[in-house]
Amino acid sequence: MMVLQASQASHLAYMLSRWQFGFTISFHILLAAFSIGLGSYLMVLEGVWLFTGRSMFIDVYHYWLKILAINFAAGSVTGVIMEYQIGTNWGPWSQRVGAVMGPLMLYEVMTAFFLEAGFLGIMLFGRQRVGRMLHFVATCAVALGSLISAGFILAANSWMQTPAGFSINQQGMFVPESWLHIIFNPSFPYRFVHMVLAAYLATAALVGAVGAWHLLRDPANQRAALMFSMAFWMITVTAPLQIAAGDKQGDNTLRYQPAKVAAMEGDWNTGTPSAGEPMVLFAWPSMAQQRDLDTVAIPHIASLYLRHDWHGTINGLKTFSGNIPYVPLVFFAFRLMVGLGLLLLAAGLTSLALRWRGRFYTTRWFQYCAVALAPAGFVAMLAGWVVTEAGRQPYTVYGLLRTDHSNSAMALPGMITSMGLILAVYAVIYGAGFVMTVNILRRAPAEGEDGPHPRLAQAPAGNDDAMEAAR
Amino acid sequence: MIAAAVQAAGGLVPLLAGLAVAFAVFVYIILDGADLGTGMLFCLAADARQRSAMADTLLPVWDANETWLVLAGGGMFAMFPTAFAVLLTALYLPVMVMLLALACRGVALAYRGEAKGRMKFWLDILLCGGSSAAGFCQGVSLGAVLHGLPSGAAPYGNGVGWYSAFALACGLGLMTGYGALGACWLAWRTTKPLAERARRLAAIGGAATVLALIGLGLWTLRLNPDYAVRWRLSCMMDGRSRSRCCWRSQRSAAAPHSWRAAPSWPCWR
Repeated sequence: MMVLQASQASHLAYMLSRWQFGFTISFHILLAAFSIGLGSYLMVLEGVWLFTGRSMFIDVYHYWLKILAINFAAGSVTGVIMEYQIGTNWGPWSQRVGAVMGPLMLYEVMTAFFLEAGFLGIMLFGRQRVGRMLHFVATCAVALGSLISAGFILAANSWMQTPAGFSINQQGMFVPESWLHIIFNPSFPYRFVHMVLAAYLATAALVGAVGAWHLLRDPANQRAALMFSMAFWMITVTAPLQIAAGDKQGDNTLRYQPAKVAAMEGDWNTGTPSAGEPMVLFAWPSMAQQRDLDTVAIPHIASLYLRHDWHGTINGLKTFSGNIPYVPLVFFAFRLMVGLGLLLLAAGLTSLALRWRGRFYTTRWFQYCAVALAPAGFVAMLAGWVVTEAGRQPYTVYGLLRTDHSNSAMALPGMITSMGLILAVYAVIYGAGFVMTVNILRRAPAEGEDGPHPRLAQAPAGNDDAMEAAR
Repeated sequence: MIAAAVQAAGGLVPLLAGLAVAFAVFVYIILDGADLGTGMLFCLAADARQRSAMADTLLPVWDANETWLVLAGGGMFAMFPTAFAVLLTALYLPVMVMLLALACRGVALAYRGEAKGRMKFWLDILLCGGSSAAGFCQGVSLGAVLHGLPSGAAPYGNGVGWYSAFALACGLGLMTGYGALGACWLAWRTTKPLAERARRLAAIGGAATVLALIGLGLWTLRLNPDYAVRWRLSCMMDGRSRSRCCWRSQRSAAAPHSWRAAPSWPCWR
């Protein structure tokens, strides 16, 4: 058996710790984003139903409410894991940034989580127990809670990317000086808009795909047509907005984290003004050789979207004296995100053209395409997070605290054990959740659709044992 | 009394911060403790109908109750970052297992309504096992803190120092307490056959919890001379020697390398 040296073992434990956190946060963010998107979608559906009284809207509401119930449960339990993981795996980081990051999370819990957790019960079980308006208020509270939560988490994340409003004391701990500057740090507004739009876009792509799937099976299903149409209006509007927001965030990143942008572009050498910055379509960035292999590039185009100037250039990766991320990951993730974003933009524009010609609900090839696009938004969003998080390396707090100074000194066997446990439990949570979700979505939305837990949501007369369970 | 408490905690802000975290933990233990106890009792339910009724009582509340744990964690992180970092790293395995067990408990409850047949059976096992493991690990963590965690060379613990017979006993003790809470919850929230059964279980569980508390309390006296000093009935015996009754962080010569996790609690005067 191979015997690891002590330094190799500790490095492997450190890498496992990073992979573990990357794994848990990636799976959590899928659910968090879906909750944001679905929460707002449900708010609109119930609002329209209250306003117009058309039962179709409440049927679609109940259809997706079942998904929200499952999604919310998995999202909240995986969120708890992450909150404690920052202590178990990232002790030194917690100790040094706790005074800044901790209150942001505390405010998130107190403003968002209690709001959501409290009103979710009314939303799921209160259909026949509270009035219509109060139920709508509960739906709005859950939607609002998810947005507040996103606000605080993105403020915390953005602070790690572009730290502001703090000082560092003699023990090396970050001490808050101005909460206004901490929360509204330079990259927060851009990141918040980009993330909320991503959540809306990803949810819309999934809802649109489910609508398309049921339209393919039964073109007369009005409820499927409703979700298909609403989803594609959302995609048509948010896809271009998202691309514009992404461009703005790119400008911001270039200003505060130029090494990340250089990695996104696969740019090792600073360009000359005469040549401009080429747009690299494809390449194999090599960390060892510090250059791109097999490059396919178009000259000057990157100058346009990076500097908005034909001759603009950026600093190459070699100018950052080794403090650069693992370039291939950032480089390919960025291309995946942009590619899928453009695909969604094309789908939105196509839907607009089909509507114009009155063939939106009948064009079957487009419905097949819509089904295929179901995961596109979520994959693009994950890829975007890989760009921004992997691109922040080798730091946790950009420029100030290195990742290899942030981790708990954990022994390798413990890390392997926890990694195995996490993989096993997540396989169960996500496996079972996926099967449940697919089972619900396979049934077409019907007239008089039931919400989740129909037995509990009704008056408790029929249930002897749990008479007061959900009063 | 208040002035003394402030002094013992090292200022008014640390005292209030400590009280806030303690309050969150306290509410969590009462509320989610009852949920976890109910989950543990799943293996004692008579039939599928009773299990369904038990799940119904938990469904609308478990998520909100678990949020108190998130509040406690966020509060520790924000207000006691050093303790958060040191404790969680030192308690690595029990905390990890607790979190994953809580995750299993939560999703098993949420998925249960949509599941049928064999799937429901496995989810119930997950629910019962998750609740039990979460309760046990919380007790183990408490026991490890009372027992003292070695810090050694690594400033954030080595991940295995939590293990002791006393910590395991605390795990079992907390499971007993949660079971009693769960039985009380069911006696309150359900009707006849199940409520009757729960009432009997609550009586047994309550008695067992009191015995466990007494047993573990006496055990702490043997853990470290400090506890004997702190718990000594000197308050009652010579009434006025106040400093003896304080829960103050005193390093003991008997355990020079043991990092005492108990924070500076306010004096009880």
